[in-house]
Amino acid sequence: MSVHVSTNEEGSHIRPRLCGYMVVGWDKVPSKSRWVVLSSDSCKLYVFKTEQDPVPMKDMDISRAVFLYDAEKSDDGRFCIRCGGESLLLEAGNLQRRNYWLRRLRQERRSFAGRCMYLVEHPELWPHFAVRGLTDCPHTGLLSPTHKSSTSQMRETADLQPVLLRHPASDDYHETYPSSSGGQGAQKLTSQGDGTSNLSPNTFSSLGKRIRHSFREKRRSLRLSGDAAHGSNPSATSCDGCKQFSSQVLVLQEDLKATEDGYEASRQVIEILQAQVEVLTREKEVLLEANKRALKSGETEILEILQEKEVGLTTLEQQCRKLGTQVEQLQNDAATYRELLQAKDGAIVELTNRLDDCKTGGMGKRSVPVQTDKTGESVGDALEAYTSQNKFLNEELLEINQLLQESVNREDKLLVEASEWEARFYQIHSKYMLLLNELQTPENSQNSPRFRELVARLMGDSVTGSIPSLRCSNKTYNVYGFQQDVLPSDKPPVSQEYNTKQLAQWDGIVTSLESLELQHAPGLKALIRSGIPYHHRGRVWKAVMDQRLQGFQNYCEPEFYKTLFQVASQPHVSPAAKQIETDLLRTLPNNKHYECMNADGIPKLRRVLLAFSIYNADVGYCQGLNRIVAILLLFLSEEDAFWGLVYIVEKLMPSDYYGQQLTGAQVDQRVLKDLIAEKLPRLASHLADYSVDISLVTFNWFLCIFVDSLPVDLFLQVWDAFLFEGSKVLFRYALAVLKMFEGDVLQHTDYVGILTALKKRVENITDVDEVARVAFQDLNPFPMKIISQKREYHRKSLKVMRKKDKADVRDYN
Amino acid sequence: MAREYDHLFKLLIIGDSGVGKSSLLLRFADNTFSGSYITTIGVDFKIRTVEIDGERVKLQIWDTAGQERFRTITSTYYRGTHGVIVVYDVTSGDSFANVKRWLHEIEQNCDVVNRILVGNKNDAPDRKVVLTEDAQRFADQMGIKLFETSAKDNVNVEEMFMAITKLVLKTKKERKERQAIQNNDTVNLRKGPKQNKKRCC
Repeated sequence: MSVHVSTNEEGSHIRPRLCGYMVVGWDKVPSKSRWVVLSSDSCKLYVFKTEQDPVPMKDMDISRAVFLYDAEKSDDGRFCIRCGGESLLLEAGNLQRRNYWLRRLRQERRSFAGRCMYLVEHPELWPHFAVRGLTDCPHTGLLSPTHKSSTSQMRETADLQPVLLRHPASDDYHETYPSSSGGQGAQKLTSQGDGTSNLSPNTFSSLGKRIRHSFREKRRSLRLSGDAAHGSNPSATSCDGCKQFSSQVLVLQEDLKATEDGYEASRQVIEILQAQVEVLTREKEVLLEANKRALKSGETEILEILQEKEVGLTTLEQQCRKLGTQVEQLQNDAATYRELLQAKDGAIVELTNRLDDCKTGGMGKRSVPVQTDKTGESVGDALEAYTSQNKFLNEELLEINQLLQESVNREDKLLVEASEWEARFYQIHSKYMLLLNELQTPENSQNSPRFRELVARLMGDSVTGSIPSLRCSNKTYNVYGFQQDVLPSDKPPVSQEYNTKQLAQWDGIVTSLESLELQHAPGLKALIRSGIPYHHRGRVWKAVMDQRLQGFQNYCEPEFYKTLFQVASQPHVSPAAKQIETDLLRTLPNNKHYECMNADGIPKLRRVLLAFSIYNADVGYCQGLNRIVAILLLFLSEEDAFWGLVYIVEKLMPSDYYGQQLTGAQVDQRVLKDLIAEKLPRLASHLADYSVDISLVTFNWFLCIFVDSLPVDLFLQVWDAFLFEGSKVLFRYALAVLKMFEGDVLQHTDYVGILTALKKRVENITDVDEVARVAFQDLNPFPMKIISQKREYHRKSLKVMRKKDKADVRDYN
Repeated sequence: MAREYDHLFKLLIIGDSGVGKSSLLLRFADNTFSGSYITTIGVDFKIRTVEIDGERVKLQIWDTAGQERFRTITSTYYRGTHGVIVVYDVTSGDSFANVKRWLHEIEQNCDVVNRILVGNKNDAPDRKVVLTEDAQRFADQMGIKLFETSAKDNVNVEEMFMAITKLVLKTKKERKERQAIQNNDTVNLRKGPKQNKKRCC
């Protein structure tokens, strides 16, 4: 059994994943074992073929579901989840597992409803959930604390269970979840009853005690329930048969005790005899030894004595054999005693059942004779099962009612809001109608005071723009914390749009990230290329990094990063400290996490950059890395962001990309120019005609991985693919962007015009999907081998050129 | 086709990281100021057309990254530059000390070019460490003009850009005159190439 509890640096717990293999059936009897995972974010239950499969077969919305189970057919822990017209039948394996699943599912449903309610009450949080509706943002990066208040409150409702059910075969399950059902002892008895012959006397007697105990318990409980239900019926207690049976039982119990004592005595006898046998065998051995010695000496006298002794020995042997048979007999006796005991137990069980039946018969229908085919035990169990089912269903009913009440409240609130909007709409509508009327009437010229007043008012309305009665006012930051244009309606917002199928796939992937081998997960590459949904980005990035950084020195060392930044933070340790400090506020000044020294991202940014500057002294700090770290920090924790930077600089980018010479970055610009000449020959010759050095624009793109060059949504999509596939993606996107605006660029015939047009168009790209399509389809084939070759070639030629330059400088001086 | 301008000049702004190069350009080109402008990676440029003595001059102003390691790629930016603006921060002695290195950088990449020295952030007297007299003395030594500006308070920015533009324009006109004289005086034609070599890079 594995325990999955992870904490982020704020110390708040991430809810453990509810997952495991169960036998699953949709609207029919469960037949196949499937990997079932609950996504806390979407409150959906996903069914996968196997643990390794990234794409779920089906899902079920738990937030609107009801849970049921049949008390009669619940040995295999079967239960049913119903939602809409669908029902999902699941077999958890046993009752405990079923109860655990049901409890957890209910908790999740509850906390999800809590979250919905919270969002209705705090609509300003909506934008954080806008990507997919109601989601609990799982990032550990800077983007998560924006609604920390909400999540922390939500989490309180969810009981944090640190244990995760993974392997249904594990038997230690009940140890972590002590059973609450009273019928447990009886259940165990039936399961162990078949194996009595293998039991040692010790367990046997303890079993007897347990049997008695359980019966006593059951009798008491039955009596209690009977009293409670039918306290007015005195006939139940004064039943003659009962008394008779009771006394019979008592007699039998005494019998049993006597038998046990007898058994104990015979066992002792056996022990004594065994000890005797042992003594005799030892004597025999000594004699044999003496015999040998005698043979050696060869003296006849001794031989005679020996012969005598031998005779004695044989008699002793005979005695021994006799004793052996005695022991055997005693053992047989013991076995028969055991059988007897068993039979007596059976008798006790039957008698108790009859007693119970008599009781119930006496209460209900006294005339009906005792049912002998149905054992009392099963009746007791059934009663227990029905009681728990009843209890469960009652709870379910209450729970559902509460949820219903909450959703009614929610609806009310939304209706109020909607009517506010409606009122607002009609208000504006009438104003415009008035205005239009004014315009239509010919005698009223445009200079009429009423007209002017109206126009002024309308203009005032539109300028202020805020709707006082509604709470979503003056929102100037988008989900990533970047400042938004004051009038976002001017420009269609660039946003990721996902269909439900994709979202389900993502949910599936995210729920099994830890176990998935990302590199070989089918369909994952294509999915990542179309962009990771906002709320999953942090987790997916971390998982990708985790798998690629395995084997990296110091990676996974818990204190490594901490000590690193502590060392780096001391004055005069990092030579880059001054430059880093200068750049902190100039990293992403339009993002609220970095806009002022008090912003939450600034100290983290400083520490990560300082730590990296001494971790990789060759690179130290290069302008541009600050933007990379800032973006990483939006989605990852501080430590993960540090390793993310290591991953990018040391693993994804060619060597010396950010070093003192920026060799790698310069080489890539030359490679890009080659690729432009190959893939976009018209553009290449146009640029050549006007001697435009495209790297004046594109150098930035590569060094900062498009941060601040492309719109946020687009460069994050580039990042997704870049982190997963590597630096080739940068060429793909650079060429895709150039290809898309090739036509525009060709229209300009002056140096500055070309560059300005390109920059402007790139900054305002709206069709994110189109760019991705061009990058990953139109530009194919795009073999990495070619890029590697070109890189190598240009690296060499750059070296040669530098040498020449140096020589020139020397000559000049 | 009538051109929208009479002259097109390329100016380059260089100087240490964080002295306010981008802010100066933003103030001049867009008349805006932001306390923290995003770090310039590689190079950035802006356009503004000004009028000097009735002539329209289109300025193409290149803003460069200040960090040392970016100098390895800045050599491309110097190509075809008419004027260079060397900026230091009056509140940072280091940035002033580095001016020499920047001037050397110009020498390495251009033969002759108009230069101007700018002490930016001249808006907080209590934080000022580079005294005007020192800077002026140095500028005189180097034979270049000094301007103390504040992009924040919009002090002297316009004047500074106009001054360098006028310098570039003057140089261009002088050269034209020289060329005209050379063209008229066929005897002196042979002197031409040597003079032409001394053009801006």
